[in-house]
Amino acid sequence: MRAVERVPAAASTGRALPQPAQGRRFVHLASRTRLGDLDPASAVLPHIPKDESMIGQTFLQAPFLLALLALGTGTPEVAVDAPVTPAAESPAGAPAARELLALRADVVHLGDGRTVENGTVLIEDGRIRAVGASVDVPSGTPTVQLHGHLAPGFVLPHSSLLPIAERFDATRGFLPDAAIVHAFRPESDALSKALAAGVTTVVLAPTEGNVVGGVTGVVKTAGGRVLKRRAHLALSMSNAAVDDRRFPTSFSGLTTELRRLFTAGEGVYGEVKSGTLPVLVAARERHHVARAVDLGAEMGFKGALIGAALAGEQLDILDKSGWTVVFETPGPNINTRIQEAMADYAKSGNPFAFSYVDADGMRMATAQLLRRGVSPDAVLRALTVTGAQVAGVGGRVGQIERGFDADLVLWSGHPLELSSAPVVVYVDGKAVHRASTRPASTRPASTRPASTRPASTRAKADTKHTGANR
Amino acid sequence: MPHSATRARSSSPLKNFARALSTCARRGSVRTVAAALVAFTGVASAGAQDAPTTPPAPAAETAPATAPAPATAPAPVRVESVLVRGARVIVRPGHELENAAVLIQGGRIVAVGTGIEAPEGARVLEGEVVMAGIIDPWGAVGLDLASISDRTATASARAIDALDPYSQDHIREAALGAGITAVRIGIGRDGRIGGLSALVRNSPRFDRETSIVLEDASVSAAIGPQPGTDVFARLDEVDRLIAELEKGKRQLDAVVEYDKKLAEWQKAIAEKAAESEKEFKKVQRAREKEMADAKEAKKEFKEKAYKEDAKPKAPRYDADAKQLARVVTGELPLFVEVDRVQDLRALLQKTKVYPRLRLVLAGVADGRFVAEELAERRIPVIVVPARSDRGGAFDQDGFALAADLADKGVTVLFGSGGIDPDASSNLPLLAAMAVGRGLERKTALEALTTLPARILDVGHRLGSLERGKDADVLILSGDPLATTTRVRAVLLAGEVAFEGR
Repeated sequence: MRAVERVPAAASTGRALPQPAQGRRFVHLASRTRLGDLDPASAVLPHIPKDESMIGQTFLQAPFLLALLALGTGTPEVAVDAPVTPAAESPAGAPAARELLALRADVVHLGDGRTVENGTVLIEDGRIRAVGASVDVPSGTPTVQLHGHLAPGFVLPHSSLLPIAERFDATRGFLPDAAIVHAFRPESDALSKALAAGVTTVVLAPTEGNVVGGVTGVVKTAGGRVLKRRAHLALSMSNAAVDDRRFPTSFSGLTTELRRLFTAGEGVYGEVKSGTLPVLVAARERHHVARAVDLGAEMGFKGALIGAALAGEQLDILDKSGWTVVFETPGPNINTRIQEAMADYAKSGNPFAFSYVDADGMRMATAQLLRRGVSPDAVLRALTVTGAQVAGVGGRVGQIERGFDADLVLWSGHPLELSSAPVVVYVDGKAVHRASTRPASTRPASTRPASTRPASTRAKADTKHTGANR
Repeated sequence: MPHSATRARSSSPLKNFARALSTCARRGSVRTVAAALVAFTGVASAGAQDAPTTPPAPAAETAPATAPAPATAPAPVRVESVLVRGARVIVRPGHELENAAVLIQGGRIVAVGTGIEAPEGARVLEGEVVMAGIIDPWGAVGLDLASISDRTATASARAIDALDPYSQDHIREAALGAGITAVRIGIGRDGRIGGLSALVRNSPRFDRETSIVLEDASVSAAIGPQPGTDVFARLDEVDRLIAELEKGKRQLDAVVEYDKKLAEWQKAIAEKAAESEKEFKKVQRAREKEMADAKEAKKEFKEKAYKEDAKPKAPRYDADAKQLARVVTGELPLFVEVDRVQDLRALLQKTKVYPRLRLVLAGVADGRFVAEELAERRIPVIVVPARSDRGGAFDQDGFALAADLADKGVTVLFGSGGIDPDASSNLPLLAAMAVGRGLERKTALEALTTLPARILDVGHRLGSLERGKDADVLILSGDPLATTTRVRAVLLAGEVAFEGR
């Protein structure tokens, strides 16, 4: 996989780069992009104000700068990468080059709550062709027997995986046309760590400091391949969006401006109103949530509430409201009240998903819900099906089902047990990550016999046919 | 159960008595003599109670206890019996019984085994898994927040004086709901030395006898507890800690010297007394003559001065030095929060001169660099698996630290970090996470139960479900390290303190 980023080279010129012709860029993108769901309309350039005096200011905006730097070097934006599986996008074409792989596992979690014991997943050209206890596997198909639980790769519809500068850029409150897929590093360590933790798809979202942060994108953590360029309009109605150094400085100002923008309904706001673009709204405290839901009802949009930790105390507003709550996963020390509220919300049957900060935080948050009596099925669903639905790629990832991408994770035990660990991660049918017994960087030479290794490292793949899944 | 909450060593009640007496002699106060006598009787009775319980005798586990509580309870204590049945009873990590039961009377475990019948009127509880309560050896439940980081604390400042047992009920309940029955709480994290930590049960209502297990669980200290402290400042803190220990050592030397001189003096006095007894008449005549002479000469009569009259002077009473002396002799363990490798090396180097010091290190983010020495000197460590940002090395995996250290033979405990009262309830999850990173299950369970009990010197009371121990019992819906497991009920000293929804 070629990870393309030439930003540092361009940045060394130390000046704003000339604005290239838009037409050329479209051609360029189209020629390099083989992703099925990438429509030309989604390759919109960042909004450049007409007023010349604004341009200099605009260049200070890190997402713009990155995007333009990428353009200036004649490189397609960092996000577009060679597809992992060349033929994955066109199962109908090229029938001669079909690549088959069958994975058998002790338990297969389909993602929607159903499980299959001793199940088989048949993968064709990176997509799932069949799954079940008795799958008709064509003769000669390489088959891998896996010991452990096979589950869909986790899909987290909100993440903090952008470089620091992107995450904290809040110099201007409204960036409706910023495309966040222009602002990340596909080869970043954070993405590899997410992949190693079994997270195969994430939504990249902008800073919570902007009222309108821009358009989010969905990427696969394996190599940072973009799955969807325009997934949501990211809004923030939390404390971070109200900044005394720039407009808006109050919640009333914020709400008024959003109401004005949505009423006018130009550009992305129109897309949101027409229902083609969902919203992700950062809303932490209860009054943020109430304001967001009210504005959505008034303007006719719905989506997901990011970080609404106390949603469980607001079921009067949120029950069957059509909004999905995306819980933050800051780490182990979530206070008792928030844990209770999260569990109450999860138990209410309303849809929820998780935001991604780091792997341990995600796993601790799920474990805390389980400890408070939320069913493992509900939590697994949140990490897979609901996550994918909120991300807007619900028909494509998040389930082990015919037609879905073969993004699968072999776990040493139940995927939600903290004592389990991901053993092999498959993306588009390829094993893209294998766990070492323990992370090499932290692993001192062991003085104990191998038999004392715990169950978590014992699960391994026996490959019947050599080279089957490499 | 008149357990003394202070560290009463059943092994040496006489020694304690002697020490107490010498203290009184030093202070010359009648009240302290009485206190010493009380202490002695208390210790003696505690010792008597402990005696039958100390050998855990696995053979006895299968024998149903038909007899009432072993000669423990001459006083009318709780006669109520509780029988806890479990499909799997974890007597102690590595020793499990299937379809067994634990019989509890008077707050203590009187029998563990299969085929135990419920005595008449006994309350019967059942669950999938039954085990001993989890101990957090480094927590903050119930402490007043200002005291946790108090900069002015000294070695004799007591955590129980900062305990507010009437607030934080929801935190205590959450901890109990996670199976944490006892927490060691310490104060004065930002001070040169932290003071006396206490081991406290998470009782829902405060009852001194049940709630406070030990009011002098350890002396604690922290090296550069605020992240980002300059290395020289931290090394200076190590030196200051050593200076405190030195103070304890001086106090100890002074007391030993004083005890020696006092004994000599007492001996000399006794000899003189015996001599005058023997020649009583002669001495009396001589004295009468002297008095008469003085009267005749119209002079004031002066008693003859003997050199034995010069009683040795007791060392000045210093509460801090007294506690520090207990640390130096190894009577109290010293818990030191220390993370960075420079500090660890300095501390390990400079504590070598105290052979009886019982050092326990907490945090140890950079512990991998000194693992061999920790193992060799048998210094236990408390790991907070969630904390990976305290060490100097870049990008360390905090959750793998426990496994890495255990691999090298270091005794590893889990703690919640001593700052955040909420954090205690995560302890089983953090332990499970460490298991996911390669720690053996048995070691993880020991780190939650038997090891902290042993290191805090309450191994005879807590940490496992053996006969004679306090009945701090968990009834769980599944394996203690499984994420989906829920706590059904918790017994504290034989009483149901928590019942799950």
